[in-house]
Amino acid sequence: MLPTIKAGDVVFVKHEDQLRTGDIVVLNHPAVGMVVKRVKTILEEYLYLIGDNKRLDSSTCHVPLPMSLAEGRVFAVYRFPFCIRLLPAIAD
Amino acid sequence: MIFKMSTAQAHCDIPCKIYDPMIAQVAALSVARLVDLLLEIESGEASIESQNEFTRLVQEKEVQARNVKSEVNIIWGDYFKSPQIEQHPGVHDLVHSIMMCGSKCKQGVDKAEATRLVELVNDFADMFWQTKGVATKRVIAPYPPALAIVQPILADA
Repeated sequence: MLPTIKAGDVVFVKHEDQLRTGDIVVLNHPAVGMVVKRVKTILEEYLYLIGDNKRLDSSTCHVPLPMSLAEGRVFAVYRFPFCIRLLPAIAD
Repeated sequence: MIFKMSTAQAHCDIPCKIYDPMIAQVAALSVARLVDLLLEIESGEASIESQNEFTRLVQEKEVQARNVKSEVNIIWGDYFKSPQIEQHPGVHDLVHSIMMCGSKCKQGVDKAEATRLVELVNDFADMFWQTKGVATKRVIAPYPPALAIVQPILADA
């Protein structure tokens, strides 16, 4: 998820009933566990994810994943030692 | 409000997006070549050397047919996602045909099936390169059994 999130960052997640395209979410993937990705598309009750790092791809991306697997939206990222960034919700 | 700590990963498992159907094509050509070599063995010959060669050819045919199936499966399962499948909705049927034909090549020594496997993998390669916007051409492989293969037309270095 570079450059937005790098290994070791602490992300703060808030459960949201309504996720939106562009949100960064933590999702409990049935095959690989907790993943953090950006929502590329929402079709009915399914999310299609994408990573921010354009050089890499993941088998968790571009495939429909039930929205019910999402733990919530990442609203802040803490990077050691002094950096904290707020990620506002995407406006409608 | 309840706080819960757990670890999430970005899960980037495909570095640099390197996929190429050529590995599957070479494996399919190998199956065809091995079938030719098996058919060349005199059926009545039963010397130790002949049996040894026969066993090695069958074993290698098994390996190469498995490689075809494995390589095609990787590209189909990991590379083909919604945009590519929308572009080529027939990819699932094609991959299934390759799996079936690969199994037939493992089970028997049939030149027609081996040639068909090469053609099916060629179709898959053509489909793959189309998803990347790369034109292809058919050329004759410069080694036995000199079957036609699909190659991408790439930019000069």
